[in-house]
Amino acid sequence: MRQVRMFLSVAAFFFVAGQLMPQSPVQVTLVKAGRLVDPKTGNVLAPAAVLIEDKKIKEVGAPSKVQAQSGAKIIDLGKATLLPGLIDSHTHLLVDPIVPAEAERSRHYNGDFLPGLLLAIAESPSKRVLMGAQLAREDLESGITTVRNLGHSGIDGDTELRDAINAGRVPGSRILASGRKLITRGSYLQNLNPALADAILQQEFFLIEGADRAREAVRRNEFQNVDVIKVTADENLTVAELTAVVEEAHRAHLKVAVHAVDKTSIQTAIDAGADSIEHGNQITDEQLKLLRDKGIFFDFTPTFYGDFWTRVREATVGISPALRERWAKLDVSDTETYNTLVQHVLKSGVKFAAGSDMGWYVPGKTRGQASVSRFPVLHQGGMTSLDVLRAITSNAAEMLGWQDRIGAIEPGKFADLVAVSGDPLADITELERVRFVMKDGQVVRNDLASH
Amino acid sequence: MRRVRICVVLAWLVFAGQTLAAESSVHVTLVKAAHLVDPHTGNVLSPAGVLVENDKIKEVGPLSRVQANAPAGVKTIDLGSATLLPGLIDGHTHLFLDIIVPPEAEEARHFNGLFEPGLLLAIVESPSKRALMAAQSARQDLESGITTVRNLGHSGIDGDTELREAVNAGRVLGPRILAAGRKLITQGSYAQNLNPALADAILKQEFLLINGGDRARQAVRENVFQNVNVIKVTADENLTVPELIAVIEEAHRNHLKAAVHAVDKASIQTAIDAGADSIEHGDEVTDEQLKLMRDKSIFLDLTPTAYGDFFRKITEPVVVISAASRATWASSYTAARRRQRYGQLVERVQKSGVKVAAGSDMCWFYPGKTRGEASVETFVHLREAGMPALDVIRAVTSNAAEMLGWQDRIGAIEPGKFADLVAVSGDPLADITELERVRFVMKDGQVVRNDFASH
Repeated sequence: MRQVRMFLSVAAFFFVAGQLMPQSPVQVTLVKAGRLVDPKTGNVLAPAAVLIEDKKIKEVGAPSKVQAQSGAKIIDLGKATLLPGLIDSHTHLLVDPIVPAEAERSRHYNGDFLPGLLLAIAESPSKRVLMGAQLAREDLESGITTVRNLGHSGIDGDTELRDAINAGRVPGSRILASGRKLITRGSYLQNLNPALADAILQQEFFLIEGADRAREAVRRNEFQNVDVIKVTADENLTVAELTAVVEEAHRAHLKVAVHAVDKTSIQTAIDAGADSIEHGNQITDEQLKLLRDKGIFFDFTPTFYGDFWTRVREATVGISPALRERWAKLDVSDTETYNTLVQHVLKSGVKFAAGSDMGWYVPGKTRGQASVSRFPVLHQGGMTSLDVLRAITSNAAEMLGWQDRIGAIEPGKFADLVAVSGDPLADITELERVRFVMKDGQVVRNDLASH
Repeated sequence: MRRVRICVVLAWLVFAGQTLAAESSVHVTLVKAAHLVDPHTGNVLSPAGVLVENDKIKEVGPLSRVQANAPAGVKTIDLGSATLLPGLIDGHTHLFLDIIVPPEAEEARHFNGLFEPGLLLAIVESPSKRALMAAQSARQDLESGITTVRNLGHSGIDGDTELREAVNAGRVLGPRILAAGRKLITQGSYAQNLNPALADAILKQEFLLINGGDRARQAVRENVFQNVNVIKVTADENLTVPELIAVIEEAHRNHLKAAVHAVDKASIQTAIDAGADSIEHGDEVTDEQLKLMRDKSIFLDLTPTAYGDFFRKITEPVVVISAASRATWASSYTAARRRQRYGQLVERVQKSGVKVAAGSDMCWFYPGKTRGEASVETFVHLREAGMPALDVIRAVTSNAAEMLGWQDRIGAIEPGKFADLVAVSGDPLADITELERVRFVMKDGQVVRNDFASH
């Protein structure tokens, strides 16, 4: 161990020295805008200026107070409103399933998702990660400066994509990678060829079979240097197994995000001490109280809210009248269910964040547009615009354990900023029209510059 | 070897004894119809009688004579004014694939995009699931008058050999199956985008890879171990003549024919040089190659599957078609050009005197049609492409039987052949689309379908 440490410090020395020599001058940027929203307090600063030094925010305040020395780059966003970069706390950059034809869908368990997932796994990981790079770039261009990628990325797709983005090889959001998803056998891909099943599942998942295997799975993910552990809880998963996962993850200072939709699985996640409940659609009021008391986050994923399915299918496959009618009804009932969920969660006082859970090819939209389109629907579900903003900035940062780095425009945080033309507190759909994106102090997009 | 023989003889004795005890009486049926077409000669017999004894044809001839020779009180099936034909033979099919055309966006993601997602799903999902789907396709083929199929690959390791056994044992309904087991290919012909960590395992479930003569022989033997009826090889520009010769030698040593998929000129030449028994598809065959095939008695197995606007018909009801694709289809280019090119092929083939059979090559999910209806439709394409109706019928009966090496068993309504018969209402020589409206099907002397019975 000592030897490793020594080696690291020597390496760090060379690295620091190497950095200092070629680019010693500090890059200073001053961003000015008509307004700045602080999601945490709800305060609006107008007008506002943000001073950025390299990757970090140095100072925030009124333009009269925040001033840069000569030579600083000035970016004037006019009347626009600045917000912290958006955080999508639940996404899947390495899957992009195209809804299958009706006939194909009816051939498989979990038919909408399955053919696309299988193709993603059985085809080349190189092909897959290049697609992931595209989706990461598109997310960033829509203002999502950080994502938490919760599984479905092969063995190391998301960890490698994270490192490539951090190294500047490809543009993309900051990624918190979960590596392989921990599942009990039976949650996914039930129709597999038995001669291939284990090999295929192993490319995408870790199977939890007992506490020891659960611990091993966490360690194997640690070996890939993941940022978070993702577990799918279903009725098969025992509290003992999930407790083992959570213990092992916490020992490695990793949070555990638990997919849990039904009441039983949610209870398992609570009892085992999950850090966040993903989806949580069927949560009860008693369970919400437990979440609040234990400080467990609730991560909303209103992916299918409204007529999402109908629109995606309409543009892709033929739809029989019978199914069209069934889906139209489902669109309505799912939306009503979600509206109720939003009310209950807000009333409970539980900590919440939101994720797009985007794992779908949405015709006519980039991945970023598809992802961001899921946030304003929370407002349709009854959440105030400010709470929606919190769910994907300050709250999300806290859920990720990165509240010291992202989620707010404050000194010391990464310079991840977005700007919209209108007032997002009056019209939350402004999020779907992000005109300026900065990540790590670098401008990714600036549509306001041409004026 | 002697020990095996003794064991087989003993088993046969026990089996024969059981059969005799259980149903010692001979099952005799007289089938009457206004007309009977003999594809081999082109003769039409009117009216006709066919006497069937158990699973074989006993006598064929003018109704009066056959009736006179029939035992008193024989079970009689009167098909009225219908026309009898031998049961149809699909010389090239894929019962274990039923590919749904993917959305355009999905297609664009893969090499061979139209075919690939469906093929991958078929391989990586459960073989049991797949076999049950194939049982349905087999039954539907039979119900449309296809009493024999040659299944040329894409059936997992043993799907088609096991389905053949199950059909023969009466467990499920279906045509007589000549099974090819796994297709022999060179790496690179199919499923090119695979995850390297899984690729070999996945390919092995569906294919035997030819890499050199020894592996080629081994591949044939692995198929022989599964008791296949024919060897299917995909020839592409990678496949060498020595490799294909090794396959064919080994196949012939086992009394198996080698059916070689070959589309482009180079692959067709490889197949000819190596001594293939049939060339499947052969779309780009030259006149010189046709002459070589004729001289070497190599069959050409035509597969006019995608003739005309086939793809439009299987795509339109399934996925949203972009304006660009629609324009391509609408333009004279695709369908008309395909028609023209296939028409020229048929004309040259007819002129060459090469032996011709036909196969549906059906592997597609065709909305609104059963698998049988989809398969038979492709035979009609040959007539549209300029082949006379009688030759079309030959291609799917007598000629196909010869190509399969089963001319002693099927492909004609003659004494000693299996009692595989179909009947249509009209005159198939005047209107070949009558094949798409088969009203009566008998296989092995058992009636599968008789729409005339209600009258």
